[in-house]
Amino acid sequence: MTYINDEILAQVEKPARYTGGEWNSVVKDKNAVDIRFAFCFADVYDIGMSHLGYKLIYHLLNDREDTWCERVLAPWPDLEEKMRENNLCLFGLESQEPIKDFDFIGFTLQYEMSYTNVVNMLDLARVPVFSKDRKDGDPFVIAGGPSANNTEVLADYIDIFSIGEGEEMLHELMDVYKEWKKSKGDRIDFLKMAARIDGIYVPCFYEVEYNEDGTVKTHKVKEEYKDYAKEKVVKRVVKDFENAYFHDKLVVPYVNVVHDRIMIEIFRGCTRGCRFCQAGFIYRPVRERSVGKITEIANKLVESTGYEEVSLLSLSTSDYSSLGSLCDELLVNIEEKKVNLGVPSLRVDSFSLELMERVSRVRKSGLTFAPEAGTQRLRDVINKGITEEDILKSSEIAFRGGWNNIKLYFMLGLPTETDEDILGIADMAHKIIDVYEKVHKGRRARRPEITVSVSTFVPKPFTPFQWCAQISKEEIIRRQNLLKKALNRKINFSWHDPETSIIEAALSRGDRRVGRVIYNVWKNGGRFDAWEEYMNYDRWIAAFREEGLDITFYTERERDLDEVLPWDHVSVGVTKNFLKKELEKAKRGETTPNCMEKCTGCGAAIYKGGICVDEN
Amino acid sequence: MKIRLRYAKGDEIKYISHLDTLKLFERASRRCGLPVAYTEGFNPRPRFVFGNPLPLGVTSECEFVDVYLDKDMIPEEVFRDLNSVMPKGLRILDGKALSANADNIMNEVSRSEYVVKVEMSGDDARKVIELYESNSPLVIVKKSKNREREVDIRPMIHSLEFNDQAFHIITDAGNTSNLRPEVALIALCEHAGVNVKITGIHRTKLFKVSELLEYGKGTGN
Repeated sequence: MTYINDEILAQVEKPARYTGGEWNSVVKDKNAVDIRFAFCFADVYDIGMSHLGYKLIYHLLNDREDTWCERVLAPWPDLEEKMRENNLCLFGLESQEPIKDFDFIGFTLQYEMSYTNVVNMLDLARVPVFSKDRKDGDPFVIAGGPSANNTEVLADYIDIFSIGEGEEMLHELMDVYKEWKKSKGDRIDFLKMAARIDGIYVPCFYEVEYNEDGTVKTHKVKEEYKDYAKEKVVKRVVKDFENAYFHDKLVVPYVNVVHDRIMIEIFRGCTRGCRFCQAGFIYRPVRERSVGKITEIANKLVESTGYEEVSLLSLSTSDYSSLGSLCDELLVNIEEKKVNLGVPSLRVDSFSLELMERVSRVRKSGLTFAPEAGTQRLRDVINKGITEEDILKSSEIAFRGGWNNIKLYFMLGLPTETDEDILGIADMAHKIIDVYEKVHKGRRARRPEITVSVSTFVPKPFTPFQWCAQISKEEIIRRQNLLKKALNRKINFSWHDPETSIIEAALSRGDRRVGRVIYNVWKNGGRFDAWEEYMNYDRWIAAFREEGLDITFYTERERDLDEVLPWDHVSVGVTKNFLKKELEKAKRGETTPNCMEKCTGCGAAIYKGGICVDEN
Repeated sequence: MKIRLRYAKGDEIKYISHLDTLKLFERASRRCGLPVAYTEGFNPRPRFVFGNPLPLGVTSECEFVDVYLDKDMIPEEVFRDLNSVMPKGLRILDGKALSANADNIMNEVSRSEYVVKVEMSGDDARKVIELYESNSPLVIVKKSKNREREVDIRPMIHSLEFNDQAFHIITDAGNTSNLRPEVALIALCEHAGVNVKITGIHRTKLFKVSELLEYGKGTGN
């Protein structure tokens, strides 16, 4: 029986999002487990079920005999309306039962714009949305994932944050929970026990004081919790990534989802150190899996899922130390089963083009480059180790190989950006067209399809640019227009909505007070703010004003280097000192070598793992 | 070789569309190592030919798929292997080997029978049956992309009975003419001035074009 009845299901889009029962989904006897865990993804099924980390933790928890983890995804607004009309509450896909009586409600926070959905899901679950209002018998609400690294914006809603990689930490937390359950302790007792686990942060054990100018004065452990809570919460990492947990099963959705294939993480972390990129810092150190291990995982997953495609996942696949032999090995194993291999986001050189042609049946279109900035000066500022010569040479190789479609990604509003840098974007695109014409000179060829796509820079915590200002909305629009005018009409131009980037920036670097804004927006109907058709900028601006906060304080203000940042109580390994030095080098236009060339002492070596200890 | 399988779609997967069911078969075949033949060309696809699509939300005990195999297998083996890797709600019921030149299932079916569960009084149901038996035209407005047209759907309905709070109805199904049972029933009820609430639809039989013989059970023989 489905929790939502047929009459309602018949009226909503894609009802199979809500009915569960997919191949490899896990159904257990609820009376035979100690822990029921509602694992929430604050977006629609199609997005959540495309996310590798979400599936991985799902299977990891279900591999425990004592735990039943269920998937809970945000109902699309058409269903939410019906649920509220009929007094239905949020339910788990596996048991088709309400989650309000579960032991845990866990969120993986992938994107700040999903925060209104977090509040909405708690409300739909009929669980008090604020941590302070939860009583004995209510579930514990926990959160992890990349956006959880700035704990403060959701601090009033979440009971427990897990900082960093969850594979080991979650087991420890579940073990402690069982101990607590046996001891029949109070709610607060479990929070105390949890706070002692490395990587766990319990926001209600801390208090924040602010300076008159609105900046944080202190963020410290409350006197009565000194024995339990840590001043500094250090991110967890899985040191031995080679042998880290990997599920040999994977839920196979019935309905089309965005990424509907086997995804295998070939390494974690990124050697590069682009200064705007949060992932590049928070996932350090770089840790690789061996060819043998990846092949073993691929074989098991092909067998257990029947998927027709295996895709390699990492932050920069070209940096995998033996990509060629990995692909050869994988192909030998999966090709006879008529399974394709997908290799995304490669740096383009002759090796990778040959590889791409060999491994995947990609149509000869759609190569992407991400120079991010239009001049060498600005690319040095952001430490993007790529030159115009690289790009032109790669384009030439691609054009000679029969490709005619190139997409270029750039960011507008990077620190120190001038109009010259913006015009440099147009310049580069035009030079690529020249290269195309040179390659095909005197021959009839298809028109080249060059697309320039720009997003707006969003400064993120734990990057060297965490102190930098975001440019104003008017300025974003002016710069977009400047570029639009400068571009030859043969070039396709696409740009991101600046309003979303502004709200994202405010939430990314927000403090505890910004939590009130999220509640206000949600109360006024805010949902699915990651979706352009639902995001309402004016609603956000009004909410900041009503809560007595100035949004530009969070977006357009350059922070003082000595300022206490709202996330200073979290350490991701990379030190604040290193980030400061990186910012200074950025301002001087100096680059920093990547981890493969040289260790630059970022701080991630404290984990004694991966590239930090590998011999070479 | 070519094998025709008959399968049932239960409540658990009635919201899985026709296209997604196709994907489900592809993946299940790979899970159990079925030697499915692939199409030639740049983007090889496994060779499955499915029968008339089942509308979303409808269950069935007579869905058909023709599977092409690279190796000879006995039909029982094929459906046993597939059943071991199918999600709840999908069961292969039987299968039979077809000659290579047998027509595809898609071209063979012309009518199907459904059981439509309703909430309705016996008196109201009688009115509906009477209207059906009067043979009077049953005109509905069909909307296509940019125009509306009136169609008499009465000739597309071939049988209607009521028992156990359910209508048993036979309508056109197939490539040339197709009428969904709920569309037929709602039109009949409207014309009879009767309210209807449909609580479930289940497909029970398919009929062949040429002979209009019952095509449901017994295909395994």
